[in-house]
Amino acid sequence: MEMKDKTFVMNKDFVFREEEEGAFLFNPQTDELHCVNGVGMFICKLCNGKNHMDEICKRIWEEFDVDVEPHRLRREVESFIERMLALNLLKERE
Amino acid sequence: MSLLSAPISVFVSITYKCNLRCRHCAVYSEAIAYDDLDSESWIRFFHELAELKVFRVRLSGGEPFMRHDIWRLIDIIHSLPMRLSINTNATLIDKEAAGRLSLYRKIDEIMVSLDGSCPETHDPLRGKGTFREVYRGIENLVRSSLPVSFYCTVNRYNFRELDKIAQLALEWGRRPIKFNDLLPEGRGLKNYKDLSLKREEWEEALNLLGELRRTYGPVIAGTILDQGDMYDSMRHMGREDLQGLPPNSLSGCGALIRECAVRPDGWITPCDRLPDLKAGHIHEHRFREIWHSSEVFETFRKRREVLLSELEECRGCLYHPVCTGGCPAAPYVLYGTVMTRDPLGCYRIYLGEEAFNVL
Ligand code: SF4
Repeated sequence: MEMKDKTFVMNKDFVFREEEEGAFLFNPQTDELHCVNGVGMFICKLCNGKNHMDEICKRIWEEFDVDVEPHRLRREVESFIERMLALNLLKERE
Repeated sequence: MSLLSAPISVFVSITYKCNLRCRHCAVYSEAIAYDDLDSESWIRFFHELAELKVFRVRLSGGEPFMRHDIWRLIDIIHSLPMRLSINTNATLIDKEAAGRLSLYRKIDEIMVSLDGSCPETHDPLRGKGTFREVYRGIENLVRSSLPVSFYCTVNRYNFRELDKIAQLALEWGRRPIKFNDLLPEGRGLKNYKDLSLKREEWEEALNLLGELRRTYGPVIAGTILDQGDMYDSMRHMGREDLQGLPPNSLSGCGALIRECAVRPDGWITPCDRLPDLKAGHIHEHRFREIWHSSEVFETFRKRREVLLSELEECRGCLYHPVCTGGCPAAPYVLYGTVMTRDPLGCYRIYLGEEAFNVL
């Protein structure tokens, strides 16, 4: 399956703590702590198993003052999600 | 930087009771006595912390293992999505207790006070026979593979044998050890004259610790080395390096950015070193409300905006751009305010350019 057809969910082992300027993701079992900025937090919240890449990019476009080309934005979101998957913070929806 | 939704970590003085009567203890004084909260209040509080997604709790005291319900409380904390550290004097840790502690997978640190390398230097400070009891407790913890670290209050009785104390910590598996200054609080204030180091003695301790750190690396740490490092960088800065740089503010304290504390009787304070700065009681207010809108906390947070150049005590000092004003606990105890520099961390006082005497 290609990235565009997948949906994602947060790894439930991590506590997701929203802050004004971003969010913490903390795994109390392993003591692993990560931080994401405001856009990262927005993407995480859209990873609820329902939104595909198109929808996520569209919503970012609507919400933030994005000053990059749509294809650049998409690449950046993809690379963010790939990093989150590699860190096991996100999972692909089965 | 905006205020976090809740602290990352909370320092919980779970009991005021202690089985020892250490002469340097910064928590106790014969003039104070708090009533401990009951189990149910603590349990409600830990659940509230979990709701707010606080990641860490540090249990301290008094001596946490004096509580009859300590295992129940540890069980509750451990069942919540948070991690746990414990400060203890280790005298009540028998083999069974150590074995039980080793079953918890989310304990990050068990910090044990170790103030001497033998009964002769340890016991005058902490009571007859205590070295042996502490030693036994540490052995039990280490044998159960627990993450033990050490805290040593440097004072007149032990400053010449810090290498031997470090050696003990290293023999127990290269454990981190903090060598910290004596604080003029609690019994530490009462006995300050007898226990505190003179300037030459403090320097001797600093040199010894510097050597230990060069040999063993960052497992050797603490406020004496931190202060020594700061003085060292100040010493190497000339007027030309500092002139024209903007002044720093009273930024040396991290309380209420990521952390705060709770007293045994349920009052929330900025830090365990500032037990009289009561921001709200957990029976009367939600913790979130206290963290965000207590007047005491709002005022305390303004400390970070006070420029050193605006302080009467720091007027004309060359070091405004690099100094951070130190810890607010000592000025609070000595002058009744946190809105000023820490005289015990002031380079000008250290150089003898200003006179200062705690007593
Ligand atoms: S060295 Fe002392 S006088 Fe100078 S700014 Fe720091 S605290 Fe103030």
